[in-house]
Amino acid sequence: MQILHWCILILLVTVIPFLLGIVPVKYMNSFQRTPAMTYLCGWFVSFSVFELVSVPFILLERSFTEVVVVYSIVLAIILGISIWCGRSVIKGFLPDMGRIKKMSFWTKLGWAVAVLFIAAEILASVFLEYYDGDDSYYVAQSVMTNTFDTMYLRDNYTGYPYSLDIRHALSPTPIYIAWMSRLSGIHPAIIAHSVLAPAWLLLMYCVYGQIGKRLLAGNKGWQPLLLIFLAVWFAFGNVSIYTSETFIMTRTWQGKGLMAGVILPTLLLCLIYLSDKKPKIGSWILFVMAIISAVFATSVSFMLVPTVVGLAAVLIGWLKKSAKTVLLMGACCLPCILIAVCYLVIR
Amino acid sequence: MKEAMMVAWEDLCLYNNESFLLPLFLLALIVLWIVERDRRIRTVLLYLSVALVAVFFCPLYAWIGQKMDEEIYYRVYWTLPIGLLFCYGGVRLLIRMKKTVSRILVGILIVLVICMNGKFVYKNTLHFNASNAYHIPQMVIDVADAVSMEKYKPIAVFPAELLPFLRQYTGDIFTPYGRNIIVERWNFSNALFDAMEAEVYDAEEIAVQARNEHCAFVVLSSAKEMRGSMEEQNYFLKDFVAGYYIYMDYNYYNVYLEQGLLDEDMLKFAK
Repeated sequence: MQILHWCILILLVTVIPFLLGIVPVKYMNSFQRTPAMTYLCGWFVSFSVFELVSVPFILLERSFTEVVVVYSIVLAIILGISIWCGRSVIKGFLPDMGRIKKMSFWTKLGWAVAVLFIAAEILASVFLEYYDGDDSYYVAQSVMTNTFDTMYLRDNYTGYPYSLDIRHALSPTPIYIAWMSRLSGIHPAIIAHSVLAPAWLLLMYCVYGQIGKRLLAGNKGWQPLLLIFLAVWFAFGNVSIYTSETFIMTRTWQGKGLMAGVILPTLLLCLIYLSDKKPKIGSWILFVMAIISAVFATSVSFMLVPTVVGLAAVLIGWLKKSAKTVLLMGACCLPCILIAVCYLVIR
Repeated sequence: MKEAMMVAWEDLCLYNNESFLLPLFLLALIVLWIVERDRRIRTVLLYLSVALVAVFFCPLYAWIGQKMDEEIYYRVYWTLPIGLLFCYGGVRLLIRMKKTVSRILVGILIVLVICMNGKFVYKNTLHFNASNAYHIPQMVIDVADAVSMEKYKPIAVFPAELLPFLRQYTGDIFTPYGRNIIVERWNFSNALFDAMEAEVYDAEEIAVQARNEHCAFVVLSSAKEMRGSMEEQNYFLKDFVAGYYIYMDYNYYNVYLEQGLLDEDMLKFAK
């Protein structure tokens, strides 16, 4: 039985994100269409849909079971559409595999070292435990949600009933972990610390892999070196307790860690794509999903995302001499602004 | 607003700590300003980074941001892709070099600078070998399992060292206070906590305060001495787990017994 639980969980963090990512990737150009990009897009589909589905239930103080049912059905529908539409996308990956053979020795060696470094960090996240005080709120939130079938209506420290915790309710990462726990039957602490930590570290390097691919498009052989430098940078990024590197390496499973390590770099990746002359619709889809996922991760995004997107919109609009781009990018930010207004009003 | 700017600056200093993070950021900006020719990448990586720094130090923005939550204003600096800029700048620099030897030497230099700038995250932080898949100390799990009941969620009080982990493991035990009481700046206080964290346990005081908080169980560390005994206060020793005594109040025991809430293995304690 335990094996079945683990199989479900492994599917939830590997195959399902990959399949979910097929729809956005289908609308990207051939340069962007990679397995890593598909996996990355899948997680963002998962995060953003969860935000949109769960927040109304949370604010209406409905049960967690209702979220589990509705979100799982919505996800199953998207999964069905992905599998139906995505056969051609998956077939398109096969020729990519052949490119490995054509790489030079140094490039192959570079990739081997990069994979080794990243794998070491991923393994460390599984076999080393990190004490973080905030876990007694965040992981506890997942545990309480599962135990009492309520969301943000219990004091996580004592267990007693509480009024709705609006500060955290709009960024339901712990509820997402509880959803995984409910589906798989695995304890939320195990999911957060031993499964999502390595999965989201891998996700972070998928994002940086795509950024590297775009930045070094004319120098493909140098991409692994960028990843090696970045892997070392993150391993030695603990210059203070405040840096984004410290958050992703020590609190990967918390919304803040996800924001610092995965969502902000993804936003940057989207901005690079959107600065292209004619960005594909898939880039816009990922952009909107990244913005909604930022809200999913942490309430600090209410301030950060409009700032970054607003400035980037002006700069990219100026670069492309296009007011339409500025307006479109601003429009993509609307969900974040709406939720921010909602937060300020309810608070 | 001047104060807001001061806070923004202090946050940046704390963010940088004693490292060369900010000089490296500046260096990366300069290198990429010189070597990066793609206008799109320049716009997103360089101009955007500079614009963000300017905005974060804009007095009005800093004031609004800190009004929302001053404690976490430092997180605005997460949006600066310092690591990416430095690493990408390094790669761009290596690409421009012609000789393999200089590439290798500069490549090693870049890695050394990164290593000297920061601290190795697994050495410098509270990382330990994981004792289980939960990444929670095993003693917390053992104690929580010993207190938990199948048919009822009891109230129990625990020593402070167990509080940060207890709720991560189980929601089946209520507690009069949690990790919130340990964080000094949150200014929580509780007479039971004071009794539990005294240098020497006073059984009578603990019993009085635990009953005030409706605790059925009291978990005490075996590492501390005790004045009096819990048995004198009408408690019994239910279990001794991982260095902790688990006492149960007979008053609650009898109520649970009457209502059929006790687990089978607890029936043996009936008077």
